Amino acid sequence: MADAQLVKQFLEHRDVLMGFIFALTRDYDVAEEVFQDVSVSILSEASKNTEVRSFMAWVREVARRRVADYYRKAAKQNAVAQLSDSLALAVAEAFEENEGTLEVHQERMKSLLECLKRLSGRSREVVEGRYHRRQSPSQIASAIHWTEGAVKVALSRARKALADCVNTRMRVAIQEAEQA
Amino acid sequence: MIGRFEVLLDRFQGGEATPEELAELEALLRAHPEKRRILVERLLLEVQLYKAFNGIAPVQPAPATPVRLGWFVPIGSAAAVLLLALSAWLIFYPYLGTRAGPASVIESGQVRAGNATVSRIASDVPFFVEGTDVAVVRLSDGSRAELDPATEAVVHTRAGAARPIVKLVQGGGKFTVPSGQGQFRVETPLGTVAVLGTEFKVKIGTRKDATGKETPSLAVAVLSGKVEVQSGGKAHVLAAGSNRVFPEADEQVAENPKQKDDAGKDDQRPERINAVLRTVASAKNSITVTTIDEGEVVDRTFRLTLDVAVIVNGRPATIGDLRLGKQVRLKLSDDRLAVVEIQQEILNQDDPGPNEIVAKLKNDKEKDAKDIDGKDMDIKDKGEKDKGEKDKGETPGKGPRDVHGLVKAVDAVKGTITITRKEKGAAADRTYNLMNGVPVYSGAVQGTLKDLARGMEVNLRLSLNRQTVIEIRIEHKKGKS
Repeated sequence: MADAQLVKQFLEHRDVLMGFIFALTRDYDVAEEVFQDVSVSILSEASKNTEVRSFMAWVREVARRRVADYYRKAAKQNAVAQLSDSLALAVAEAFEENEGTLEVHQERMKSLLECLKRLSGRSREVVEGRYHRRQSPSQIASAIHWTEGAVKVALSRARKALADCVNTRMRVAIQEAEQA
Repeated sequence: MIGRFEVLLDRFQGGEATPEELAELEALLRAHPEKRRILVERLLLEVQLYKAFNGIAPVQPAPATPVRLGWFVPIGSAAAVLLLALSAWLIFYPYLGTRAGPASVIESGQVRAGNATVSRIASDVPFFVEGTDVAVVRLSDGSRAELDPATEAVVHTRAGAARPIVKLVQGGGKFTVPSGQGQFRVETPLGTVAVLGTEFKVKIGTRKDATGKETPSLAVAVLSGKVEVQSGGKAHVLAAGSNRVFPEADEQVAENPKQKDDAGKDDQRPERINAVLRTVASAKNSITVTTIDEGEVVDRTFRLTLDVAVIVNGRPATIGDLRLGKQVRLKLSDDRLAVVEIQQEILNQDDPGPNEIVAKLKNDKEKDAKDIDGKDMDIKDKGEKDKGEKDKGETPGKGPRDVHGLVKAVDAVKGTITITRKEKGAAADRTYNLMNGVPVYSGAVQGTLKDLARGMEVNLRLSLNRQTVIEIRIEHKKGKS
């Protein structure tokens, strides 16, 4: 029976890994496909009973290679250019420094859901268009009769607002935990 | 006022940054730890936003006056809980103000929308499969849904959107989804199934809990590819061959054929499964593979038919061409107990193991300060004995991991093997420790130390510290078996 510990670690770090793959691809659908390929690689190692001592470093490298494989296979079809090796390395180092724990990610998710409740109006429409209906800014613009530029600005502001909201809630949660 | 870093970050996330902007972003990241933190937070936010809008949890409270609830028929006795989930779930889709996309086409079967039997289903219109036959529906993206009788559902398509979204109210069916742009989703009151290109079945039904009470359930079976099921606030990745029931309250074990070839149950398995090849036992004419089922890895053993077809990298091949530890796709017989076809794509054959990758990264970055994984980079293989290094010609931890030579002696009692190999042009004997139960392979067929004979040409795979043989491969010259 293969070692399930690697698989457990993989599932615990799923969001972080997806974030890293998304950084390399900047296309969420492509990131999901690469993520599936990385899953198979992890499964393959899990079946060898290998004890991995730096799981995320290894997984990020596997992900980087799979992204490179993807770009090789779909070279002519990619709308988004591949990152340079140096920028990919800078991104990997950023993740290495700021991976966080599963508990932190879960807390951030809860905070995000609360923050999303406060999003309304056109901000909500563009965010839902982007993340629920997977529409491009131009498609969203067509749907709500805005210019594409206006949609991009609205998305940028919404992301910033959500990020600030999540960070504020996380700080409050930490302070409450310390006071408890 | 938005700073320059925020602008660059937005353009980076949107895939619009120019090479100059990417270089500028890289410089900022390298110079400022705080900006690296912000980058990671934003990327995680991006991932979590997709998750939030794909069925993890409602993002708004339920409305005071639920709309369209009459369309949905509660299933089982947990009606109150189901209605709450339904009403909250409904809020995900404020489709007001967006243009509907193309209709779905009924290819066979009888489908009613409103009071009429229809041949096409418009977007956002609930429909019902009448009669006793399965209804085959061709969706706008080319996907195919074979819906069971008494299935009730709604298909949402939007102009310009690549994929429709199928909301399953009751019943179920089989979905065949070609690979393409975007994620195909089947959403149910009990969870969401999301795929990129695969074949799977989903069914809303009931099952009895520990007290014998019937409760709503969502059954998902993956025939090929992988799907992600969002249920109960968790994400479950199901590989081909998986058959799971949700929600998994109280850590209940789902009804699924995880066991090895048990007669009577195997005809429920899919015809094709993806897995990792473990062993091929020539004497038993069988194959063992490993597959994963939500955090639990299981092994399955199948017979090989006499005329089993082997395809490697798209070309006819033999069993001996298969690579252990690599992914395979198996086609099973009608009784699901035997393998009739094995497909394998051997890519990245030279990928090093995980700890070697880490060692290389460490060396490349020359980071002494940060101890990524400690000084000891050895792979700990289970069952390996810690014997002293006998090969004085090599320093532990250095030298090649694969050594090639001719078998001179095998001592199963002492657990050693001696081979004759060329070193600097001259023949030299080297003795290595053997891992307990070290596998001996001839092609993809696994054997034992007894299969070794003096004079045989072998390749020894050493542990990371070069002290122990963890794998032996018998080399065959072309034209020999």
